[in-house]
Amino acid sequence: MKNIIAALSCIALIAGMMLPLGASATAFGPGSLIKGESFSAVYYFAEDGKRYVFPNEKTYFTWYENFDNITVVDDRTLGTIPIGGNVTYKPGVKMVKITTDPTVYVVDVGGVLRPIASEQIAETLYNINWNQQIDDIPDAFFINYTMGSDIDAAAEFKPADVANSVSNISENKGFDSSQAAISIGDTVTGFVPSSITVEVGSTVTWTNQDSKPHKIKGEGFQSPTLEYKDTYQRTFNQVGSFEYYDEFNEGMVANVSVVN
Amino acid sequence: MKFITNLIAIFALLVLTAPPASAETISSGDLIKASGSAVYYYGADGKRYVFPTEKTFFSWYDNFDTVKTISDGDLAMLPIGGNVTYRPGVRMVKITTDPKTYAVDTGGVLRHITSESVAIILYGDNWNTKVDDIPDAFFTNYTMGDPITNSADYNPAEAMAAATEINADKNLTTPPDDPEDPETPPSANTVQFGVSDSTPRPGDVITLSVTADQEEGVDEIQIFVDEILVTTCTSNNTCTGDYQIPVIVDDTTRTARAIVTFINDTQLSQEIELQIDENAVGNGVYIYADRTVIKEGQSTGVTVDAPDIAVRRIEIFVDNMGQKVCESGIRTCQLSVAPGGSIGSSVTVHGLVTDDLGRTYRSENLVISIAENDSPLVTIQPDKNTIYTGETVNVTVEASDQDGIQYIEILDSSRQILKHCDGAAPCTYQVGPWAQTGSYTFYGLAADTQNATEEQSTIIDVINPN
Repeated sequence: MKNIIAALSCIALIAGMMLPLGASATAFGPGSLIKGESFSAVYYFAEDGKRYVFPNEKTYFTWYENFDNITVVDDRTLGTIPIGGNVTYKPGVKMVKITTDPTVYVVDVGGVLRPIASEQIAETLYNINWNQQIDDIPDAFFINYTMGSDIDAAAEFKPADVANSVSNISENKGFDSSQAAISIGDTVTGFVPSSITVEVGSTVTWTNQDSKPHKIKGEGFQSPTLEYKDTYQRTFNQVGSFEYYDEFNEGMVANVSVVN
Repeated sequence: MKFITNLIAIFALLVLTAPPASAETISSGDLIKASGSAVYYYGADGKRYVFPTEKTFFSWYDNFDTVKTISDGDLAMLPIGGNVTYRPGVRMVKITTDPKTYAVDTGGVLRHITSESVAIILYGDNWNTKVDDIPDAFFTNYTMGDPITNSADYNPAEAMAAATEINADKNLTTPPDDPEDPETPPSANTVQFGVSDSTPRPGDVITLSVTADQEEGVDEIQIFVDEILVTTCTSNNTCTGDYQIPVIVDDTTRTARAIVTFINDTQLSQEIELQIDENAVGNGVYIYADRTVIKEGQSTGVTVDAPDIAVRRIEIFVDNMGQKVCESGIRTCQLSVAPGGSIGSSVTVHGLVTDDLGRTYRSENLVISIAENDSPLVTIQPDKNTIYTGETVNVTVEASDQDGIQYIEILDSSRQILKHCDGAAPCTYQVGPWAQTGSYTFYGLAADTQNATEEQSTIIDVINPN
């Protein structure tokens, strides 16, 4: 029954798209943690304009100590942002395994799992209580990782160094920090995020996630008509605040702030 | 403590790299489990596939009846290959945080159903009871396909019927067995087929040659280009033939084929693809301009020269538009190019030469760009720099400029015009005599036809004759 209600509210939402309620303001950018108003799940917003799922709490806590600094957006806005994939463990922090395979792995940069060849090596890397530093990854999330070469000697992997070598999830996923992306939603959600701050020289990509066409116009830039899934790119080489709007829905206004 | 024992057992297993011999024989397509509760699909690639949710399992199976149990050790030997996705057609899916509803297509492809009316046609009035929520974390197991905007784009029953098993849905195949050296058949017939030029121009004559080897000998060698027989050689293991590429080219590729029939009645054929190069660049066609950088509104002469070609026709193209044809058989063709663009713009010019046989040759591209006007180059020179009181001296101003000089002037130190000369000819003026010693400055000024000016100065020292 709950399922039916969910599905019904879903139709109500689709119908609601027609009503120009005025776009809500959302200010966040690459590297932000975001969540919806009525959902508990927290996502990492990356340079590609997509949200990345923390498949479980353990994964989250390898990266963050608490749930501070999370930007709450309304549910519609969250829905506009496509899911990009799952976050993997921060490298170096923990060892992992799956329940149905005794192999123990270290986590290397980029979600690469490397089998530890012996208990002695595990002890050298993670000290005497190494066996308390192993998390079980549910089988279904194992596919989020890729397999790397074996750790045959302790010198091949220094957990602290590896952990320090990436400062955030974007780096771990290999995103280019000079990129940012914005989803074009409907007239209710507007541009998501509607306010974004990027460094000078950054390239911003807009993708129309709405089934209706949109056309961006700003000071000194203008996109062609963007149909569903079409993208438009612009590199900002000058510092300043650049306001823009949708020519087809002039109430959809947003801005890019370019800083040094 | 139990944890530690477990881990020790773990490494024991790692060390014993025993071959994965299973007690209960399992085969591709089986459902398997060990002592744990999780059920896996055993794929044709020898890996196990995870059902991320029970709903995913039940989109493929009605129950757990056929699950085979194997030992924990055997299960551990099977690497995880990935996650099973929903069976196509059965249910629609969505994620909690996005209102879009998707149909599942072959291979875990999600296709956005863009309107409720399409959903009703595909899944009936109660379509909204046939939508499952996929946890966000499993959304990445799917890939995005084209949206379904029209009910004809997708047929749930057909999609479901086509997906008979997970192996097929995931396109899993059995890896080849350890490649044991295949029995190499005794080397028998060998044919070497060569062509003098595999990228000939229309009208070129190419030479095709075949060398065949076989113990019992060669009966016949035939050489074709497309379906045209070039030559036949009998009872000879080598064969050579010439072929002229037709001048009228309807197709830029041709196939040269050698068919060798051996005495033992076996046949072997080889092919070479010929790429007909209609516009070979730089083959003796030269292009040059009087000036490659010109000013706004100016023109420049461009010459296309083909001294070594039996020229029938030369054409000159500006930005790929034919602008001039020279057809009198002369080997040079000239055109005055007036681009007419603004500063910073450019045009690209090339020549195309056709020879008596109809073969064409293309020149390199020549870029003519429009730049800002440069000021004239001006020099001012007195006959002598030092004179005595009472003497006079001639001062000469010369100027040059690509656009041409409009006028030249000679001025004194208070910028009074002493002499004005129209045109580019050197301008000369006699100065002096002076009664007083001192240094006197004179200016030479020139203006080009675009009114850009430039000036230079000189100093004449007047001294006492002892």
